[in-house]
Amino acid sequence: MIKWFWIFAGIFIMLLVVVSTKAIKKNKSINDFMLAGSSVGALLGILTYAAALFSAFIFIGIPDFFRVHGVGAWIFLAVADGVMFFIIFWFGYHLRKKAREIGYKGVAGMMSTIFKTKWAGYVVFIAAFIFLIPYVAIQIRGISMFFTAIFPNALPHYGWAILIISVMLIYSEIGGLKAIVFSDAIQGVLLLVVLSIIGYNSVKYFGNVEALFDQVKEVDPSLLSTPGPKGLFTTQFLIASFIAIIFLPLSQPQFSSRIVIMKSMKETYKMAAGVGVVAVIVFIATAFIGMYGAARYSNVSTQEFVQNALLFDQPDMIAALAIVGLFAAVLSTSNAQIFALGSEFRSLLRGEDEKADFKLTKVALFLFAMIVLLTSVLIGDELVLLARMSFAGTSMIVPIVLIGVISKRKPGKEIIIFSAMSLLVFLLTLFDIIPSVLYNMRVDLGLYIILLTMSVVSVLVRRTYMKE
Amino acid sequence: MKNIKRIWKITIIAVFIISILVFTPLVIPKGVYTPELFGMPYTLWVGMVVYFSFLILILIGVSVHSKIFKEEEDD
Repeated sequence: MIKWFWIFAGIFIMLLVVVSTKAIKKNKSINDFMLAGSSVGALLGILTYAAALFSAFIFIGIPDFFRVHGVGAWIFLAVADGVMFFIIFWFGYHLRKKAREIGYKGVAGMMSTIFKTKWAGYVVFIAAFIFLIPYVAIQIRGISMFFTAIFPNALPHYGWAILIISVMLIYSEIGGLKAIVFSDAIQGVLLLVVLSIIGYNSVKYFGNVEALFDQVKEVDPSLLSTPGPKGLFTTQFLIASFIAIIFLPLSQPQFSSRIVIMKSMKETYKMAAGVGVVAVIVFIATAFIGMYGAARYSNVSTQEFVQNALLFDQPDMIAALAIVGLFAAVLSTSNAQIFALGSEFRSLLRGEDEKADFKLTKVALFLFAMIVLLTSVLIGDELVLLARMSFAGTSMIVPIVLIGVISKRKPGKEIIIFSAMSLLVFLLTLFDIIPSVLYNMRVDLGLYIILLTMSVVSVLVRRTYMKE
Repeated sequence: MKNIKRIWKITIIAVFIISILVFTPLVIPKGVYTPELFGMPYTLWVGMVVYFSFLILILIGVSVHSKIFKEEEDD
C-alpha cells in the first residue's frame, strides 16, 4: 500500500503545483485572486461546489453516521441537499443580479451596503467566524488522528494538522481562489472515484444489496428505520437539520462565493443540476459504506471503522487512493472555508486602498488558519454533529441575506436584530445556559419559526409603510 | 411564456409539498422498515425516490427558470 500511496501522493502534489502555477499566471488583479476572475465554467463549478460540500465530513462523517444512526441519515442529508440544489439556482439568480448592481467582495460587505449599516455585515461575519472555525478544525483533527493511526511513526496528530494547514496556506496565499477551485476539482474527482469504488466493494462483500441489509437486520433492525438505535432522527431533529442545510448557499460564504464566481447564469444552472447528479452517487456510496460498517463493525470506534472500511478491507491501490483522497478532501474544505472567511473580512474593509486591504486580508487568512490549527488540537470528535451545529449556527443569519438579496426596497434593521438575537440564543444553547429543548420543542426549530414570522411581518409592514 | 411561468409555479409547489411529506409517516414511519425494495428498507428507498423526484424538479426548474428570467440577464 505504501508504494501506491507515494505514487498517488506524488501525482497529487504535482497536480497541486501545476494548478497553482496556472492560477498564478491567470491572476492579473486582486479580483482575479479573491474571486477567481468570476469566470468559472460549469464543470469546474460542479467540482468546486461538490468539493466544498463533500469534504472529510462526507468521507468519514456520513458513513459513520449511517453506521451508528441508520438509514435516517439519508433523510438528514440527501433529501435536504436535494432542495438545496434547487435553491442554488433560484437564489443564485438573485444573488448574481444583486452582485452586478452593487458589486461583490463578500456576503458581509454586500449586506452592509444593502442594509446601509456595518452591523449587517458584522453579524454575517461573526456567524461565519464562530461556526466555520470549529467545523474546519474538526475535519482537520479527524484526518490528523486518522493519519497518526495509519502512520504511527511519522508525525503526531498536531504535526499532520500543521502539515495540512501549511500546504493549504502556501497554495491559497500564492494562487488565490483560482488555485483553490482547481484543487477542489482534483479533490472532487478523487472523492467521486474513491467513494464509488469503496461503496461498490461494500455491497460486493455481502454479494448483493439484499444480503447487506439482511446482515444489518440481524445486527440491529432499528438501524433500518427512524429514529434509529439512539433515537437521534426525530421529526424535529430532521426538520431543523433540513432548514439548516437547504439554506447553506445563503448562510455559508464558501457556497455563496462559488455561485458569484460562475462565468454566467447559464453556467450556474448547469452547476446546480450537475452537483445534484454528482451528489446522488456520493450519497448512495456513503449509505452502502455505512451499512457495511453497521453489519461488520457495529461496536467499534469511528476511527477503527474508518480505518477498516476505507483502508484495510480495500485492495492496496484503493486504500492508497483513499488516503490521498482524504488528505485532498480536508485540504479543499479547509481552504474553501478559511479563504471564504478572508473574503468576508476583506468585504468589510473600507475599500479606500485596495492594495492595503488586500495585504490585510492575506494577514487575516494566516491568522484564521492559525486559529483553526489551535482549535483542531483542542476540539472534540463528533464530526457530523459539529458540522450540523455549524450549519444550524450560520443559518440564523439567513433572513439578513435572503431579504437583503431579494428585497427591492431597503430592508429594515430589525431583521439584523432578530438574526443577532437568534444567533445569541443558539450559542447559549450550545453552552447549556439555555436548554436545547423547551416545552418539547427544539430551540433551533423554535428560532426558525420565530425568525420566519418576524421576517414576514417586517417585510409586510415595511411594504405597507413604504406605500403610504 | 404564460405556460412556462405556470410550470415554474407548479415546480415550486411540488418541491414544497414533497418537502412537507418527507417529514410525515409516509416517508419516515417510526420503527417500520417494510415494504422493502431490492432488500432496501422502506425509509431508504422512499428517500431515494424523493431525491430523484427533486432531481427531476431541479432539471425542470433550471429549464423554465432560465427561460423566464432570460431577458433580465446580462451575463
